[in-house]
Amino acid sequence: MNNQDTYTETEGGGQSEELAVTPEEQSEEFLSPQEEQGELLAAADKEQGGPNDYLRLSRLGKMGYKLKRFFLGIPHWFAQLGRDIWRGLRSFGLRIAACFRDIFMTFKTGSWKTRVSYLVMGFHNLFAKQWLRGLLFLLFEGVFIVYMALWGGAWLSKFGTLGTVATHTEEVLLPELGEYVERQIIGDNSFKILLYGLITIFFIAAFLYTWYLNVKQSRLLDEIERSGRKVQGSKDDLRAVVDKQFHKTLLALPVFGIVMFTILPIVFMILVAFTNYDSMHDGYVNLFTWVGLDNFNSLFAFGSEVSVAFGEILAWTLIWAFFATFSNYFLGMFVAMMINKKGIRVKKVWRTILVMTIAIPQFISLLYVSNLFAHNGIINGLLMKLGWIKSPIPFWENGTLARIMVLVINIWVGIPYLMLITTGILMNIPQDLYESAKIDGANAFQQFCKITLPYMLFVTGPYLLTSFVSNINNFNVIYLLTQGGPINPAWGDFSGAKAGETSILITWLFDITNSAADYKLASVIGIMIFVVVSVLSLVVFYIMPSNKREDDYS
Amino acid sequence: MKKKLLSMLLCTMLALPVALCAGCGEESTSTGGGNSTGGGNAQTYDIVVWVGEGTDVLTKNQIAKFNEENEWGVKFNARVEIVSESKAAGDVISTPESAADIFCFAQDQLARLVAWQRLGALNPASVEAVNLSDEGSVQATKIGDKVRAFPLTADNGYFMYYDKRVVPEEHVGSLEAIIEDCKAAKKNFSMNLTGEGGSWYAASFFYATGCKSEWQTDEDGKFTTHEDTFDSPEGIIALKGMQKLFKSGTYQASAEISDLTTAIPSAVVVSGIWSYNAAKTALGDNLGIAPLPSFNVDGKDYQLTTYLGRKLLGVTPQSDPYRALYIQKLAIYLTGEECQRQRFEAVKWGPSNSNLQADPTITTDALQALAASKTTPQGQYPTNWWAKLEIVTETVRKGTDDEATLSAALHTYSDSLAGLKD
Repeated sequence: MNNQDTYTETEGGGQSEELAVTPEEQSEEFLSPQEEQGELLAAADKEQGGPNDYLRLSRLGKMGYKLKRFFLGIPHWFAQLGRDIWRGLRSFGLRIAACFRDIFMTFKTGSWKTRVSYLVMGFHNLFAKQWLRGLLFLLFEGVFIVYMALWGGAWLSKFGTLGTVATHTEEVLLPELGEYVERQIIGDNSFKILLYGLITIFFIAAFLYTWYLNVKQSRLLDEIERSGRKVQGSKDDLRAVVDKQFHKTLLALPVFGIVMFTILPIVFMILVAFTNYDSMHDGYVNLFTWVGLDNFNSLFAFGSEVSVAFGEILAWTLIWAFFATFSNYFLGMFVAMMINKKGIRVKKVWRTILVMTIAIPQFISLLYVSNLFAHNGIINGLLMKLGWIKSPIPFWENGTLARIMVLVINIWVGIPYLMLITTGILMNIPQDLYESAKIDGANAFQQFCKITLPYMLFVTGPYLLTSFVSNINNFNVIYLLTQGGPINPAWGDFSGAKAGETSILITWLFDITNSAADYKLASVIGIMIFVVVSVLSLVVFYIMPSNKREDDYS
Repeated sequence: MKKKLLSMLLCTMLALPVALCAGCGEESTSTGGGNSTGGGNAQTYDIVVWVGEGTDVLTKNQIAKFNEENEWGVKFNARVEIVSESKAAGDVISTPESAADIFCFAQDQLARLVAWQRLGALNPASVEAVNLSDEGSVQATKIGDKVRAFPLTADNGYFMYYDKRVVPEEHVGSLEAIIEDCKAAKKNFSMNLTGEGGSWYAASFFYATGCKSEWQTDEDGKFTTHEDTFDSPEGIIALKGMQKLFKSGTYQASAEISDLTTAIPSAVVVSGIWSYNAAKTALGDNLGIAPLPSFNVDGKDYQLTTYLGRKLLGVTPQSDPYRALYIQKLAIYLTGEECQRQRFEAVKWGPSNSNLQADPTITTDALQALAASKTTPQGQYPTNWWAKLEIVTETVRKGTDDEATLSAALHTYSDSLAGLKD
C-alpha cells in the first residue's frame, strides 16, 4: 500500500508542478496585513498628494476611503474573477488531459492483464490475488451495467426531451358486464426523468472515476510485479480501512450523504430554472421541457410585472435585513449595557424577563402577536374601549404601518439574543481602558464610540454578517406576522402568488411554490437569492473590522 | 495457476448475467392505483377516499354497507381520510400518483381537474344516476356535454349570520343600516372580500349590479371564450358598494364564525352552511340568519347575490378498467338518495337529489336562508381569475375615492382576462 500511495503522490506532484501558481500570481491574491496597510497609505498618498494623509483621516473617513476604494476596485475585482475562472478551467482541462494521457499510456505500455482490466474491472487485482479490491471493482461494474441496462439508459435517453408521451386515457368495453369505461395509460413523467436522469449522470461520473482508479491500480500492479515486490492482500486492505485509510472510512458516509441530499437537490433545483415546470406543465399530463434562459429573460425583462415585483421586493428585503440586523444589534447592546451598569438592582430578574421571549417558540409568540394587532384584535379592542381611537388601526392592512410593525416586533424577538451575546463580551472589555479614558476626560458617549463599539464590532463582526444574511432569509418573522401582506395590486398576481408589501424574497418564493406552483420562477428566484446573499456577504466581509488585523482592536 | 484460472472463471461468471441483462432494458409500465386481490367479479380493492370535515365515519359506514349489498360481489377496503373540498382538487392535481381514488371537491375546480385529466368520463350508467339530481346540479357536473363527476350537495353559497341584539330584523335587508348598527355597537362586519379566497364573496357585489362573468370550456376543460362585463359602469357601482363596507371602519376581512367572540366582536359574519353549528354555539338564541342585504348607490338599491355551487364527488382515472367501473358504482351509491339523506341528518348538508329537495323535512334555517337568497349558479372559471379579481378589490380597499382609479383597476382586470384562456 505504501508503494501505491507513493506512486499516486508522485503522480499528483507531477501535475501540480504544471499547474503551480507563479509567485506573481500569488502575490496578487494574498496580501499580508502589513502590505495591505502599506498599499492603502501609498494609494492615499498618490490620490491626496500628501504623505500619510490616510493616517490623518478620522475613523469614519478611513472607512469611507476604504469603501470608495472598494467600489472603485470592483472592475478590477471582476477582472480578477474572470482570470480566476479561466485559470480554474485551464487547470481542470489540463487535469482531464493528463488523465486521458495516463489512460492511453497505461494501455500502451501495460501488461495483458491490465488491458483486460479496461473491460473487466478488477481483473488484474483478482489475478494478483487482491480478492477484495478485485471483487469490489467487478461488483461495481456489474451493478453499473445492470442499472444502466434496466433503468439508467432509459432515463438518460429521455433526459434531453424530458419525455414525449404524456399520460392519457382510452375507452374500453368490458364485454361480460356490457359497459364502457375509461382506463388510464401511464406515460412519461418529466419530473422523474429529470430527477433520475440527474442521478444517472452522477452515477456515471462515479463509475468513470472508479474505472479510472481501476486502470491506475492495474498499472501499479504492473510496476509492483516488474519490481518483484509483494502485493498487498485483502487482509492488509481491511486493516488499512481502520488504520491508514481511516479518514476515508469516516468520511465515506458523510460525503455520500452530502452528495445525495445537498448537492443533488441543489443541481436539480438549478436545472428546474431552465425548464417550463409550472402549474400549467405538471410533467404528468402536460410534460415540461427545457426552455434555455427564457425564465431569466422574463425576470430581467425591463418593465415586466415580475421584474418590477422582484425589484421592489429585493429593495424591501435589503431594507428589512439592514434595519432588522442593526436595530437589534444596537438596542440589544444598549439593553445589555443598561443591565450591566453599576447600581442597577436585580440584574438577574431583568435578564430572565428578557430571556423569556426566547423560551417561547417563535411560531407561537409571533402568531399570537399577529392576532394581538389584528383589525379585531386585543390592542384595537382595548384602544377603542378606552375611547382613544374611533376605528381600529390598520396595523396589518396598511403597507407602511405593516413594515414598521414587523421591524418593531422583530426587535422584541431579537433583543434578548443580542443582550445575551453582548453581555459576555462587554464584561470582557478591560476596565482600565475606561478608567484611562475617564482620566483623559472622555464622556460616556465618547467612551462608547472609541472603546465599546470598536471592540464589539471587532468581536461580533462575523455574527453581524451571518445575522444580516439570515435576516435576508428570515422567513419566520415575516410570514408568521403578515404572510407577506398587505397585497400590493400594482405588483400583479403571478398565477396566484401575489406579492405583498412586507414580502421578502424568501416569503415570495414560498408563495410562488406553494400557492402558484410556479416552480421555474421559484427556482430562478432561488438562484437570485443566492447571488444577492453571496455578493453582499463578500462586500460586508470586506469592510468588516474582524477581517483586518487583530492588533488594531485588541 | 489454479487460482488464476479460478479468478478468470469468476470474472466471466459475474460478467455474463450482466451482459445478458443488457438486452432486457425496457422500462416496465406502471399500472397505477391501489391493489386488488381475487379474480373474476368477486374482487377486493384497496382504495383511498377523501371526504370533507365531519363525514369520514359516515362514509366508512356507507362503504361497508355497499360492500354487503352490491350486486357484483365487489368489496372495497377503503382508507377514508379528511381532506377539505377546497384543497382536494389541488392535491389531486399536484400529486396524481398518491391521490385518492374518490374525492370530494368544490364545483369550481371541475374544469381544472378535467383539463389536467384527473377525472375520467363517466359511463352511461353513472350519467343516468347523476340525472336524478336537480337541473342545476346536473349542469354543474358537465364540461362541454360530458358529465365528469357526481353531485353531492346543492348548498354551496353564503348568507348572513348576525347577532339579533345588534342588528334588528327590520335592518337586515340594508347594508347601510347594518353598518350603522355595527358602528353604534362598536362591532365589526365580517365579510371576506380581500383575504384568502375573498373573490368568491366579492363577486356578490358585481352580480348584484347585473354584471356577469361567464366562461366556456371545450370538452377537455380548456377555456375557450368568455363574456365578462365587470369593466362597466355597473362594475364601478359594485366597487362603490364595496367601498361603503371598507370605509365604514367595521370591515373585517374574514368568514370565520370565531369573529363573533374576538376582542372587537363582529355582529355579522357572511359565511355558509358549514358554519351553522359554530354560529349556533356562539350566539345561541341571539343568532339570526338572513340572505345577504342590498346596498344603495346613487339612490338605487342593489341586492347582493350569492353563488350557488355544488360539492361534487370525483373519481380519479384508473389503469384497471374493472377497478374503474366498480369505483364508479361505489360513487353512484355514495351520492345516491339514501346516502345524501344520511349526510343531511349527520351534518346538515343540503342534498342535490331531486326527491330529497322536494321533501319538506329536509331543511334547516340556513338552507331556508340560502333558498330565499338571490343566487347565481356558479360556473367554471380559470384558476387565476380569482386572483385577478382579488387585485381589483384590494385596490378598492386601499381607500381610493377616485372613479378614474377604480375604472383603471377594472380596465387592467379586463385586459388580463384574455391571458387566462388556454
